[in-house]
Amino acid sequence: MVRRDHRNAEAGFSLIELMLTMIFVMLGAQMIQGTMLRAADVYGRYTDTLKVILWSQEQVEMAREALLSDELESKSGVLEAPNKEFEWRQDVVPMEGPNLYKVDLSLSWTESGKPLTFQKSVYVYQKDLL
Amino acid sequence: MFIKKISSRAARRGFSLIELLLVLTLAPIIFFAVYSNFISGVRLWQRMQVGTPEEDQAIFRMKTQRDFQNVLRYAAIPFAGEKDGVSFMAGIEADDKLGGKRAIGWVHYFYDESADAVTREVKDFNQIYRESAGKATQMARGVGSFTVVYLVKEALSSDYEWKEEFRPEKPGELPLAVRLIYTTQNSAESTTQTYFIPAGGSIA
Repeated sequence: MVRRDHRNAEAGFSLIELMLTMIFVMLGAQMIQGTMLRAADVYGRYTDTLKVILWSQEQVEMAREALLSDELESKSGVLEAPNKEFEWRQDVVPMEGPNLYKVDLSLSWTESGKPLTFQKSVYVYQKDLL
Repeated sequence: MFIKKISSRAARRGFSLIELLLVLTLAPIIFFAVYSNFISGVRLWQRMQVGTPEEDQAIFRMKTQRDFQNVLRYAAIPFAGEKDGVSFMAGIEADDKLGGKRAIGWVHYFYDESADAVTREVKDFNQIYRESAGKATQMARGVGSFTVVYLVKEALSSDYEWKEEFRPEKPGELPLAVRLIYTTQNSAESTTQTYFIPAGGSIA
């Protein structure tokens, strides 16, 4: 009995045990890396969405300013950011009633290969100014 | 004795060629997996540490928007628009001791150069008439420059223009809109935030 234990202690790990361990370690590492990349994607999506929200808020105010000088119109363009482009479109729809318009803003971009779209609709009205 | 002999032989034998080749094949694969894992972790951590200027801008906009939407026409304490700061009467959060959650008060946004911050000072009526200091809060930190411009309608030409200061010609007069232009340490580009004032414009 004592002899057998002594032999096992000297034998160490077999090649099969070593390979299986390596495979499990690699699988674990891949899972951790996948989680990290997913976290990076979520973070990128969050910052891009914030950027788009801020831009759209400012664009609404620009639309209000354009309405003052009767220059409010439908248009489109590209918002450029580092390593990314956001295609935007502004549609102006006249509503019933004087100086009342609906402004539809939409932005589209890709995040990790997936197409994303942000849409915002607001009503802008210009009162008579002295 | 027999066991001892085998152990001694096995120790001398070393690795077989197959074992060596397998180790040489697996070792770079494992090294690459661990290295790429480590590098992506470090990059992610660095990205998180930098912070997002958009997040700071969104918070600043959310806090300031409410004030500019609640600007009041108030003849006794007029709207005062300067290049580096703006003050006006607006709806503010009331002190619990005074009762009610909202009240009318004086709001002052200005650039505090010593702290590199845009600061908001709020005074209730007691503090206004006693001329005591109001409650000051830093609204945006790490600000490099801060400018305020005001949209007005020119009386003679009827054109709309952005001006660097606003003084009401008639009591209670307000600009049509206020635009805050600032730069932060996190972003090389200047940020513009425009707020149309619902009660803005001239009065009859």
